[in-house]
Amino acid sequence: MSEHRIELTINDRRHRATVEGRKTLCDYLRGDAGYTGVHVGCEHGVCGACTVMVDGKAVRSCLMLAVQADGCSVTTAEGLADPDGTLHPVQAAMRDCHGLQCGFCTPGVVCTLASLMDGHAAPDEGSLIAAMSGHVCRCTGYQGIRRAIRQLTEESA
Amino acid sequence: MSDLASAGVGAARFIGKRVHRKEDPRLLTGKGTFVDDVVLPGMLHCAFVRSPIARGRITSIDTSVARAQPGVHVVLTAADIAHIPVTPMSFFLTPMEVPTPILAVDRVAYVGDPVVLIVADDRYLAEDAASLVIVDYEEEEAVVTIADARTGAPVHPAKDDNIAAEMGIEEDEDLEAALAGAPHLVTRTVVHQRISQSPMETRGVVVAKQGEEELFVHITCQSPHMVARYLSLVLGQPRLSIRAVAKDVGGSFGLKNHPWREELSVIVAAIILGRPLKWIEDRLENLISANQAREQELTLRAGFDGEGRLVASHANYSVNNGAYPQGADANVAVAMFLWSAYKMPAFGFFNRGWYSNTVGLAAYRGPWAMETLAREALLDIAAREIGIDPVDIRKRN
Repeated sequence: MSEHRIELTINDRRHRATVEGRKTLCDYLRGDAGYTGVHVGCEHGVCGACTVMVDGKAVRSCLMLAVQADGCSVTTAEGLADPDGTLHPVQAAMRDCHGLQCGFCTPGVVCTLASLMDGHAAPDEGSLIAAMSGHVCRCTGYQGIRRAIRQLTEESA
Repeated sequence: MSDLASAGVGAARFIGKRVHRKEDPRLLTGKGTFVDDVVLPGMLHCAFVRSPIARGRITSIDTSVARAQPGVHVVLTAADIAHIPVTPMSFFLTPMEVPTPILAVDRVAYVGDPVVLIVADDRYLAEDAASLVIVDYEEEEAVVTIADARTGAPVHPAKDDNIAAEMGIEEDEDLEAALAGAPHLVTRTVVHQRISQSPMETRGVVVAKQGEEELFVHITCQSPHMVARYLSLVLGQPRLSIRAVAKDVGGSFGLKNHPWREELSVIVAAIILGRPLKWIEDRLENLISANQAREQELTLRAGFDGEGRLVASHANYSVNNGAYPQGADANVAVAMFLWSAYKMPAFGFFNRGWYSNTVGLAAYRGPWAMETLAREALLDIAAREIGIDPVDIRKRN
């Protein structure tokens, strides 16, 4: 069992840890770093619930090792709202459009959509919808999420 | 009403308004509390050794290497927990029809049947240790489908056959005569495949014995009240005060009505160990060994007169109960609802649930629903065969 020291930023906070080589990023984020907003749905990279942003890109944290995040900047759903509590536009749109029920798939969905929205002047509704192919939701039937995407892309159009 | 609405009081203030949900702020910002988010001081982690075969006799279990692993606290077989007797009950809080151990005793009855429970410092170590347990099996030919179950060797040694439950009359002479005498007789069979509820959050439990008389259980479930009631009956310890908690639950769809074999094993282990324990099912376990639903077939016969009016009907229904259903079930609701909206002069049914070497039956939303599919499809087919409009055939009945 190899152990490694890593240093990374999570939601704008610096973290240091010693982790086994085999520890997944999602298990590190949830268990060691305390970000239980990262959810584990399949450990196979299929369901999307574990999606976080690493250096701005949406990533399956169940398919990544914690050691691979050394030196990176990780953002989870916990880090998207403003410090004063104002929701990220993706979170607000999901709330407005009833895009969640049980909330288990939600942090992953939010991270994927935020990664496509942030830094893009006029994100395309089609690409956000297409990105939802990487997320399994067993509750909503996806239509509320589609409406949230429409609201998001209309707002920024 | 407008005075109340403008005053900001009463239900009137919500009429015609879009209302945000109260739980969304925490769920959207990752601040929900699902069972795997719960951490108790001193908590240890559980993993199971499960049967890789669908049916067979356990000839030996060697846990010596697993027990010796650093970070492993206990390795438990059915024999190690037998002194804390637990009697699982059905979803209806009735006794199980067949002996239902919480860890396999002498035999395994489905792929995924839990045989050994490992408790370790973390899940990684628990799974390492699980892979070091050696179980020898004498494999037997599995009974898998309903067809297999009809003629195959009994899944449960205490029984002569694989009939888990039976309701109705297999052959009613008067009904057969009415069907045979009908100008039009339409027969169709509908087969519905097995469904896994597949909630995004798998099963899981955190349990802590708090002194001799209190048990704390945080569990992903459909009703904490049902869980507490179920545990109070199943554990059979009247002095034990049980507190069941569920905050956020990541879906269930029938799977999490009450604790089942793994959850009960973990609860018993917590009582034995005196340490808080956590078990979180992973997706592999959920897809293989969490109870499932459906896998049913319905052969529906309906006799019509020359004008398309129903004269008689018989439904022959079977559902695969698996090895350990959460209550042996012949799904009589299918028969109850089949013709309830129609004029049906003579109806008979024969429903059976079948044991098989597959994971057991649990609830899944709307378990009777295939009656609608079977009946409406048959009515459309009957309309075409008789030569009348499918809307008319409904109106005439």
